[in-house]
Amino acid sequence: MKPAPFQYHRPTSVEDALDLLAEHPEAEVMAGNQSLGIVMGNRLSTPDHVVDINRIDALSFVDVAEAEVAVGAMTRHRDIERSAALREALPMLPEAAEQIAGPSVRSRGTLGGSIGEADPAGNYPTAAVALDADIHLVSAEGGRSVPARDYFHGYMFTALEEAELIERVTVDRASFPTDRTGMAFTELKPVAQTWPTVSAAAAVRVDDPGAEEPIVEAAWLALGNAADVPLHVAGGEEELVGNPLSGEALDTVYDACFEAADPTDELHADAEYKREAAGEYARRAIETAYNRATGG
Amino acid sequence: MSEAESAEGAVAEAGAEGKRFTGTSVRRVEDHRILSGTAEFVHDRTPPDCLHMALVRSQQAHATIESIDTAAAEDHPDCALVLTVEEIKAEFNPQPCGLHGFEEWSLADGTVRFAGEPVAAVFATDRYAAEDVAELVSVSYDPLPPVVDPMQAREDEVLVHESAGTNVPDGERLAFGDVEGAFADADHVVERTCQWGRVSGVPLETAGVLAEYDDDGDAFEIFSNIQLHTLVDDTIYETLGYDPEDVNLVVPPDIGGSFGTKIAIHRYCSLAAMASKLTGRPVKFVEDRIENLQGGDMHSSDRHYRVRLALEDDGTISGMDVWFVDDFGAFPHYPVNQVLKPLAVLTNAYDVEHVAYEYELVLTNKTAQTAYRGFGVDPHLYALEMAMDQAARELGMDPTELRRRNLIGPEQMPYVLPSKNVYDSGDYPSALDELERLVDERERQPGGLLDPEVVAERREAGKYRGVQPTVMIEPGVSGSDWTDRQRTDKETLADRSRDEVAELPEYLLGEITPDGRVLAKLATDSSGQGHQTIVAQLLADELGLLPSDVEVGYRGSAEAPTEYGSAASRMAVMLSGAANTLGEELRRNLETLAAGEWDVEVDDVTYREGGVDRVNGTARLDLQELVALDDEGLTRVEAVYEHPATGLEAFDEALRSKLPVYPTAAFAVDAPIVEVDARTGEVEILKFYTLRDCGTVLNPMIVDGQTAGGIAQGIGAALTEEFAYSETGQPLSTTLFDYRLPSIERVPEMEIQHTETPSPFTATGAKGTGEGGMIDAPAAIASSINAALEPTGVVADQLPFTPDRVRAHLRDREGEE
Repeated sequence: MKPAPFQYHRPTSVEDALDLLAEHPEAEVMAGNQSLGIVMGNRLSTPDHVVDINRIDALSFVDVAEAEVAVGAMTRHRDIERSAALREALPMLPEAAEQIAGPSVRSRGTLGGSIGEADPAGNYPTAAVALDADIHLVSAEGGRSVPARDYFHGYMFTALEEAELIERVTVDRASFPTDRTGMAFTELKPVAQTWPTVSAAAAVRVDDPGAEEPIVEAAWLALGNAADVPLHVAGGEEELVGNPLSGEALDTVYDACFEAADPTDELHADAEYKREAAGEYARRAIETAYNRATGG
Repeated sequence: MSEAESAEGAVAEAGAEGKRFTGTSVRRVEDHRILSGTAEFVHDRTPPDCLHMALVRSQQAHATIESIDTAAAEDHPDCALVLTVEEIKAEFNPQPCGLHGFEEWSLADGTVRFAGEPVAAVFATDRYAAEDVAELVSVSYDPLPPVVDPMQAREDEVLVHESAGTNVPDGERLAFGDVEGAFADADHVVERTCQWGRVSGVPLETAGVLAEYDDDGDAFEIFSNIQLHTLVDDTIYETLGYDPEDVNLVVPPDIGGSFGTKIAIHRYCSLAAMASKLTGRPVKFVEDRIENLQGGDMHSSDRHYRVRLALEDDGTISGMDVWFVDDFGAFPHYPVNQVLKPLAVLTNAYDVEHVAYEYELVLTNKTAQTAYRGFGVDPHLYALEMAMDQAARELGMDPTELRRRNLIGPEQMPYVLPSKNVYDSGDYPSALDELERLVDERERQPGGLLDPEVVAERREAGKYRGVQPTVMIEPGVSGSDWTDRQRTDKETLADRSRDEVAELPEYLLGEITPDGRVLAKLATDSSGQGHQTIVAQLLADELGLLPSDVEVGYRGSAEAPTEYGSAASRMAVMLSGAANTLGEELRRNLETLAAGEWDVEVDDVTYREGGVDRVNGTARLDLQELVALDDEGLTRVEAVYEHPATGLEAFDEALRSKLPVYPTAAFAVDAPIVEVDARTGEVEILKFYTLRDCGTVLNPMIVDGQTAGGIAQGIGAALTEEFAYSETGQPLSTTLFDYRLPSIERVPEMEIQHTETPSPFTATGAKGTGEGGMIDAPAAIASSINAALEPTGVVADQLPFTPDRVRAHLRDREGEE
């Protein structure tokens, strides 16, 4: 498990990184190196150039402003997990972060690495799609923003182009007033160190958490590893709006997810099983999110 | 805590009241260097000018090798040597196999038989370069159809070895008593089929070797983390074509786990040694994780079972008929007798007279099996307990009551099994009662995990809770003579005399060093068990010293006598027996020395706490003074402890007939409380109750460590771990993402209780317990799942019982309703 020879670059600024990528468009970008090192070690990836962006401090930040949350691409899972500001504003992100592997992986792995790798089982891709986040990309030519729901094109294939770098991920806070929004990230995992079999990211906003039966005003739902991309399940959202959460409504969430899911067979989880699990975990995520929104 | 502090702690605990160290939790002397990073593992040693090996492995499961082009590899500037089977055949031998009639070379010979099989070996200046060079070797294959399913392999449509003419090179049916009669007369016959998934030990440290050939002496020194280096050295010196004394296997004191899996790493050792001879340079190889998981010759038991029970109306079992197929992969390696060891616990804790046992050893296009903690007993106990649950359901009996009715009673001890092994001691019914009482008291009360109200509430939410106590026997201290049964002409066994039995004793070398300390040397190796601590405790007691006065090292294979070594739960018994003998002989020799010095009779002197006194109180010589006086070698003793079964007539028949001999029967009553989520199929173990008895406990902390680790491995086997293959023979579990070891999040709180029923057969009353937990936990967990899912009718008939398998079963049931 030793990589093939490669040229190693370690820029300290975004500009330098972008120049290097412009010069070596085939280069692999190394973020937290929790996946790239493995595929290079197995020689499944043999890039001639690796651009290590770990020294670019400008990409590591959590910025919770009134209108928008922005998280830098090189922010570690550990920092997201432990950010009190995120816990308050967008609790789904810390909850997604804390369920990734074990402490050593979380201390190194990054938000941008996960979005860039675009594994459909990844926690951040699923959360970003659920929250309707925007992904900000930069290159030597300039910057652009892509909605997360348009960013993931196919299995580990994204809108990210050669010579582009993920700079940050932003979420509009207007949709998620903290006093009447609940969020949940649930995942089915055989053991901690592996990827989830399926995961579900949900947010629910209610009209009045103090009401006898708070009405669902809006819902957000996405599934991880239930298709070749993180899957936005609009059908699971629409049925909930305008009513208090009920057992029947949760059954429709299950059914919508079971129908929407288009997973592939994998070891110890065939497609049928994953569809069932996607439905069940989505049901639980929505229920938890609703309970959190209503203070229950 | 520092070493000094821990030693003082131990002294305060044991020394102050004149108590013995043995039986107390003396802290492990190994831990300080392991935890402080000062332990030296194989990978830490790289001599100057060392070459590094990388292997070119087959990606095909089954194919003919048309050609191997090594020219580009040899042209690489960092390449020192490329080996294929041709170069090996020119100078060396095939590797010994577990069965006669198989020729296995260290590199594939014309045919590859599993994905991951080494086809060529390259040697370069460092491992990076070696992997670059390996990529330049070009192998051309002509694919053959693979045979992957062992049940299909039995049809012999595709042969793994053409020359063998069959995929079932070994099998035997052994019948004890009147099995046919028992089934013919039975009120009920119950049948259960089940499957045990391909699992194994996954040690933190993979296999590693550093081989150095000495041209002047025409001899090898091989530094490796191989297990049983003084027993299986033949797999290396025979391959090299040298005498045992010319191939010295040396082990580091610290090995990062083995669990049996490093017994059969001779391929790596031999290849490195060959290259060292051919290049005149040291050669190193450390297996990487993917190599280990996919093709490290280290998977273990992979079995399909059918168990039939003959029962009377009241639940008494009169007959048992066990049949299974074990998928050994591409070559029948050393642990072929893994299929026979269950005979040592043939009926588990149950008193059954008429029993048949039949196995078929099947070859497929998978990596070869090796030994793993439990050595084939774990699947056997699982299959038996599944049959017990099936019988309880069919007879409408309470499964615990059915078990209790059939338990061997304490008055039957020592109990001779139909298969002639003997259980030494134990009161199984009382142990079962005791654990049931504990679980009732703690968990069936209000607020407990099994509080009926809580169980009903959880059921409403689709979560099924349950527990099923089981009693399981852990056979310990294997004999060695029976282990070649499959390479023996069975005809000769009928009239074999007891005198022909040749058991291997335990050897323990001990000497007083010039500074008055004790240096002991084992003729085997350790891979984390804590043998240094145990020997230090034992000898400290024997000689009235502190454990810190005793140093424990390891002998190389060339110098040490052949012995079985640290496997088969042997060392607690064998080392404590050997330490007894060593202490006795050293004391006597020291007394002889002192008596000679004072010119008095030996009766006039007496050994006491690190010295010899004149009985009249006028003089004393301490160890340092005594060793200075020794010019006859009296302060150096090689103690020999015979295998305990050899001195007991009760074992004569088993020994004579080459039936598995395991003279100690440790046992466990387990009650894991499980909860199954019917909607997702997830199984959670809420708490693991276990009551264990391994006779006299030498070090409670070490025993608890063995138990906890064994149970963790058992949880993996029961719920998450499996070396799966695709239909085309591609290994699917080649990383730790897919071979799912239970992490701390999956290992529940354990309530471990002990009783101590000394073995009447061993020197200290100790019983072997190195495989506990792994042996019993899988069956216990599966039985508890059966209990939890009883209302659904679902049975844990395939391990690991993963969530998708649980759901598939439930879905089938839902479909039926």
